Formats: sequence, C-alpha cells, structure tokens
Amino acid sequence: MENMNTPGRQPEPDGLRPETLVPEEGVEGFEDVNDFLINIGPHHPGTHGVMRMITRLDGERVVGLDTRIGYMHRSLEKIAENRTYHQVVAFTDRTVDYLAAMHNDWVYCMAAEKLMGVEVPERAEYLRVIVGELNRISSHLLSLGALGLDSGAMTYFLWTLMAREKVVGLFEQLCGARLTYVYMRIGGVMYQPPEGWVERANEVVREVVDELPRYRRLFHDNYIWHLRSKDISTLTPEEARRINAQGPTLRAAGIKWDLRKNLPYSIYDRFEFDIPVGTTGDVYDRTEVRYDEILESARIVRQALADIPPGPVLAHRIARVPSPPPGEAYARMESPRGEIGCYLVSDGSHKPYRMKWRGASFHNVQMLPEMSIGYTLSDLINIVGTIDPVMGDVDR
Amino acid sequence: MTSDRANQQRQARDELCEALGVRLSGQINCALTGPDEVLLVRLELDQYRPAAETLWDRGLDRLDFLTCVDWRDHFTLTLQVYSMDSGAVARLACDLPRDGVPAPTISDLWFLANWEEREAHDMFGLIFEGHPDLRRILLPEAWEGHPLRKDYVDRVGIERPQYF
Repeated sequence: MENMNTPGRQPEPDGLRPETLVPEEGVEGFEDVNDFLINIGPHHPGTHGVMRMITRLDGERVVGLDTRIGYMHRSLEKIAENRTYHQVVAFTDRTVDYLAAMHNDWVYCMAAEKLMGVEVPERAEYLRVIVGELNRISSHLLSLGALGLDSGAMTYFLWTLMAREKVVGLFEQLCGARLTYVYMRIGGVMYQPPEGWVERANEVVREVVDELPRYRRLFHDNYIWHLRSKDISTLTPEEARRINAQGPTLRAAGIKWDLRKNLPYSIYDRFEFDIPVGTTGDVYDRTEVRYDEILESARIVRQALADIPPGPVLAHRIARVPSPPPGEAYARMESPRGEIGCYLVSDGSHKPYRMKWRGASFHNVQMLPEMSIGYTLSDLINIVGTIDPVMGDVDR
Repeated sequence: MTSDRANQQRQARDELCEALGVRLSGQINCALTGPDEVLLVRLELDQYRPAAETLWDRGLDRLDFLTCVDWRDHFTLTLQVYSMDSGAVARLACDLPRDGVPAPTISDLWFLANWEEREAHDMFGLIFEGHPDLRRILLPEAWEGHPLRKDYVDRVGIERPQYF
C-alpha cells in the first residue's frame, strides 16, 4: 500500500466519483427514468480482460459509450529501449497479443531483419508461415468459443478449446511452450521441428477441419444464435473504410482486403488461398469470416507442409549483441485480429532507440462506439466478442 | 505479377511526390528510406498538416501509425499511411522542439489518429492543436511526467542489472 502514496502512483482521481462517469459529450443531465449509466468492468467477463466501458443507456439501448483502457499497461516500448535486440523477442509475445504470440514475434523479427539486412533461410520462412497459420487457427478457435460463451453456448466453448488444445500441443512439441512461444528469432526460427512433427501437424489440421461441421450444427446454424447475431452492428463498406476497420471486421463488411494477399510479405505469394468476405458486416458475418479463415489457414498449412524444403532454420553470422546501422524500419502483417506492425528506430547502438507497436486490438477497441451505439447492452457484449480484443495488445 | 505490383507502387509513389511538391510549392525532401524503401518525406512543422491533407486526398486512407521519437534535443513526429487501392505507402516526418510547441491534429482525417495522438500526448507530452479529446489514455490522469521521453526518471527506483 505504500506505493500508492508515492508520486506517480496515485489512483485514478475520477475512479470513485459516479458523477464523473458521464461520457464526454452530449450529456445534459438525466431526462427520465430510462436514461441512466451502467459501468461495465474493469473486471467483467464480457470485456475479455481489464477494460472499462461506461455505457449510457436509454432503456436497454446503448446511446453513449466511453471506453477506458490502460489497466494492464506494462510499457513494452520503454522496456524495449533498455534491452538488446534479441532480448525484446521474449517481451513481444508476452506483453502484446499473447493469443497470437507467433505473429507478434514474427513482426518484430521482420522489422529487426529489415534494419540489419538479414536474409532468412527458405526453410525458416516455411516454418514461420506454418506456425503463423496454426496460431491463427488456434486464436480464431478461442475467439469463436469465447463468443459462444458470452452468448450462452458453453458447450461450444469447450469443444473449440478441445480442438485448440491439439494445435497448442503441436507448438509444445516444437518449442516447449504452450502460450508464449519465443520460437521466432532474428534471422529465422529457433528449432528444427522434431521427427514426425510434419506428419503430426498434417494430422492435427485434418482433425481440426473435420471438427468444424460439428460446430456449424451446434452453434453457427443455431436459430437462437441467428436471432442474437444477424443485423446486429452492421457496417457498410464505406463506414468500415472510414473507421479504418481491419482484419475480420473489415472483411465481414464486404471488402476483400488481406495483407497476405494484397501486399504479400514473407512467402505468402506462393500459396493458394481465398479471402473470405461477408456481406453486411454484422456480428453473424464476422463469426462466419473467422470460421472460413480457419479453413483457409488449414489450406495454407497443408501446402506449406507439402513443400517445406530441407536446410538450416537460422541465418548464420547473426551477432549475439547486434548493433544495426542507424535507420528506421517498419514491418506489418495480418494477425488474427487485424493489422499489426512494428516500427523500429536504431541510432547505431545495441539497443533499439525507439520501438513503436501498432496493435490491432488497440484500434479495434477505439472503433467500439462506432459499432455498438444503437444496439442493446446484451448486443454490446457480443460486439466486443467479435472484435476479439486482447487487453495485452490494447494496453501494451 | 510481383513486378506489376512493384511498378504500380513505384508509379503511385512518383505521383505522390509530385502532388506533395505542388501543394507545398516544391520545398520538400522526398526520399526512399534505407532498409524498407518507404517514401519518407521530411517536413517543417507548418507543412505537416497540408502534406497530410494531400495524402488523404490522394486516397491514402489507412493509418499505419503515428508516433514520436525523442532525439533529446528535439522530437520527430512520424506518421505513416497507405492506400488500399494502389498500395502506396508514405511516411511523413517533421521535427519539432521539445518545449510544448503544439502540432496540428489530423484526427479529423484518419479516424484511428484520435487514439494514436492521445497516446503520443500521454507518452511524450505532445500537444495536438484541435484534438477533440486530448486526455491521457494508458496512464492515470494523475501520473507525473511522460515515460517515453529519454529524460524521464522512474520514481519507483528499481535497481536494474546492466548486462550490456
């Protein structure tokens, strides 16, 4: 408790006074009994982490929403300024989006490789694509399951978690970790896959894809789910472009945009896959886009597993404490939640001079009022589920 | 296929440079940056808003990031945007002094710039003129100082081992 009294550690001053919870604009006192505020969070299962949503309700409809974040801020960018380039990899998968840790390590390594001019071996590129797409499958499975849990379908959550378990088991065989992999390194990946891993990966992907029709019968084709999700939080393509929607939210609105296809990085131009799109951009379409993306990721994994060449997985002659020449580099990629990016500035020393993280969830949470005003409070919980925020990525 | 895309991007880049030159009457410094070959435009502070408007008008409506780098004697405000149609990417960089000189906001153009500017305000103490809601975003309102400044002193005072 002593810490609370030191300067810089004071509690949020407006945290305890209800009259300050009023959303910033458009509020002139309460007109009738139907006009009131409900505070959701910071600790609430519907917020998928520690986020505080101050909703102003008219009856059951949300007419105002103020989102407060920062409860889990761990200052990744400051930490990165005090670590060497190799050490930062361990932070990028814990501190930011931990449900897609492979992608976050990958994008940091891509930026660092650009700075240092490192060529990644062919086999490492294939392994990166494979683990990246497997991670997308596991992340989407958890996201769909959690959305089911939010709307009362607990069985569905348990089923998707069972399927996710198989994918996580693959990562465990590969690098020993189940959530924070630290598998990517600057210049490639850390380990060769163990014997029989490629066959096992093929098998797991087939098992997961075989499960999907069960999910459809249980949840996606369920009449109750249709009532809860169709025409909720619709987004037109123009609106989606205006608010810079990204990832599944953007594609559900009918815009065929995927960085893997449109501005390909790594070796994604070698694989055949489609971009699933929706039509109305509502909660139902966002779920369907995620469901279809699992199938497309499975297609990419199968192709990559079939073509993977032999060879080393880590570039030679990477210094243990590299000091890249002064300059700046930016790498971006399509994570399960949208576009993530890493901007690195080097001043020629052995630590990054500045790292800026572009998190997908940070921006998705910003779009929340645009998507949810006009819908009911119970819809709001589902809308939060469809943007799939990971608070580690929001607060960094 | 790939060279087609590269050609298209190069063409879009040249057109952007030309448009920026027309808008800012030729006094700009357009260059491809070193490792990642992005169009980097170095600007004065008063050219920042017109240049951003030009990019917006040319259809670069996707925001990659807006951030600030503390070079100890000055800040560099950096903005990167890209276009979904042509794939063209542009990075604007303008230097500004550290002592509270406000930068113009661009949050009325790019929707996502709103929170990005709040974050830069939170972490560096930058003031964005015309921003609708310039509060701290990640840190509590009562926090003293701006942590990503290079001269920030951590008040908790943990002894950290120096490995390198």
